[in-house]
Amino acid sequence: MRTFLLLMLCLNLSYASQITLSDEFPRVHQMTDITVLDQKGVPVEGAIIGLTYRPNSMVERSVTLEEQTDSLGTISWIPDDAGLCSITASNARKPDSLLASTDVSVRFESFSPQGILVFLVAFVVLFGGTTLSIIMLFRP
Amino acid sequence: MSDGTTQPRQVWSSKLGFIFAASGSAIGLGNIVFFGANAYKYGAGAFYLPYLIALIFIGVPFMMMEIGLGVRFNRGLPEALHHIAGRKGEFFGWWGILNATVIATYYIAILGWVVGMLVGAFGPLWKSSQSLPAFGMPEGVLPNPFAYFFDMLSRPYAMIFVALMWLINIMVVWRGTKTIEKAVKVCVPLMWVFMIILIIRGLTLPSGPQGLRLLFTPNWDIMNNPDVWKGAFAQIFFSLSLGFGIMTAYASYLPKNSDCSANAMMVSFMNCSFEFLAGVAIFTILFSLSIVPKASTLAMTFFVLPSGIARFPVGVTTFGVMFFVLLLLAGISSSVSLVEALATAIIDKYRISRARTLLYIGGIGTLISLLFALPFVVDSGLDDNGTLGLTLLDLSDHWAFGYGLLFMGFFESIFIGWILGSGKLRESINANTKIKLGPWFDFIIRFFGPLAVLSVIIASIVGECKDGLYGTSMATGWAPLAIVVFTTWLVFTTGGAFVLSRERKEKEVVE
Repeated sequence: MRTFLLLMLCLNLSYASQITLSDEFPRVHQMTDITVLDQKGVPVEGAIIGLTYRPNSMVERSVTLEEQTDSLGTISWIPDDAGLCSITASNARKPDSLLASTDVSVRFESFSPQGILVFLVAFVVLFGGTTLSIIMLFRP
Repeated sequence: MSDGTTQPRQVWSSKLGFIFAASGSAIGLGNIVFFGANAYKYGAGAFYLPYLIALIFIGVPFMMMEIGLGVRFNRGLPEALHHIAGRKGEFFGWWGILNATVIATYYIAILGWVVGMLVGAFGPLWKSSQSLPAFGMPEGVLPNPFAYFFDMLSRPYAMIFVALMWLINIMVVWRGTKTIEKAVKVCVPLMWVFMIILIIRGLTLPSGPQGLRLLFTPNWDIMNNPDVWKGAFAQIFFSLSLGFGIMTAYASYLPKNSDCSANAMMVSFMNCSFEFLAGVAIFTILFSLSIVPKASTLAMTFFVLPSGIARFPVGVTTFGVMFFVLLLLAGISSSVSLVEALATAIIDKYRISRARTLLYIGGIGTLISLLFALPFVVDSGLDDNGTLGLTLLDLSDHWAFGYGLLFMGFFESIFIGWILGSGKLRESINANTKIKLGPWFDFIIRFFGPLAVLSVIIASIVGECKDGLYGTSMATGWAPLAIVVFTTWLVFTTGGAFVLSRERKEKEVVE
């Protein structure tokens, strides 16, 4: 169950600032705007945006956007991977101090044929195995 | 189930009774949330390949071995292994059962907390925040359901829920297969119904179906990482409850002419099909609510998913209550099997009455479980586990669950593969099955299975050596407690198994 040392990871720490997106579910390879506002709702200019694709997984990948937020606290972002993504905003002068953090789901462009294949194989093996064993068990 | 030497052993009243009981045992809290978290961690769709390979090459054959053992000897694990390898075999049988007992004591404590969360799901759990007086935190510092959970843990009333869960468990196993069958015939079908409702809810959330793409789209680059394979093999082993001695105990109440292969396939595939559905439900909810799977089964169960349910557009209370009822049903059907495995082993060995055995188990078990629910705050900043009870639980889980089952699976396959001879077990299984086992079964039980399990054990020990003894680096300076728990676990399981396997009743078990 591994609770140790991991509880804090689960706590949604409250930050003074907040991150909003122009699209609640951005789509992969399509532009979306990230806006950083402070606790009074004033745009934060010059914030550095860090992105972690598939956080907490073995395929986790982190990047930092090259530009900083403009005077409206906004920066454009084109997600290059679908799935879950963590966004952090930090102060350009103190990159270690987090201003805000949020998690977003980036929508997939289309169905992946490999994904459909994995689904079908798993479904057929698992439910097929169950059905086969029912037949074997209850056949006179 | 013999209450002494005079009464004949009970048998399951129907094939369905055994299937419900065995699959109910295998499908537990871990199936509902742990699979989703593991699949996400190990690259989602790509995880299915090692997972299915582990199921077919380890899960199903080991399940056949455990069920075959119970049917062949009509005894619980220690007595069955005694038949194969004398006292050495019995020692490992008891060692497995005592590990399962440790797990039962904290598993039932967790079920007590599920009851507490279920009570909260009727209202207070969904408040945005609440104060935590025991942790010195005013309202607003910690959001719910985190705050509700830790507040509950820091109050003595949570201990009443734990005692209540022990009472329910003892009631369910009171008359053996008769009462277990009655309980699982309600719990297991309801679990499937609730899971399907949860899937429908997940799929109808905004962008919920996109969660399916997240779950099934593979990332093949990760396949050459041995950790993914280790994760898949461990997932199958833990998910099917192998190494507990449960399946051997349950199968010991099957008639001698039972079809072990079909029963083993049925339980294994049904368990993993449920896990498949749980993955769909969890991923659709995670994607729609942009929740990153984090940390542990406990964290997923008590904070992460409830915090997602709290953000449902409608039906928060309904789905919250349903979620915790689902956990409770899955948990009870698993915990009774852990209690029954110990009861069967004691009754088989000492021929004392079931009622007396259960009163002892219930009394001592409740006291131990209450230790895991001790409400003393030892970590007010919640850097680690918050309360003393949860800290003890975490440390005990690491040893009993993380190592106990794997070691037991390894030794079980060694005894059956090399001492009894997997060929003999295969012959007895084949005598009554429509699915005949070939020599591949011997290869898996003698070579592939033990080596695969051993490699997972070695990888875990190497990690342990690198990081130091588990728990000694806790932020709150509880290193001595980690050492005490490790020593207690070692003495209880190893010393207990040694004592129990030395004692022989005057009259040997009649085959």
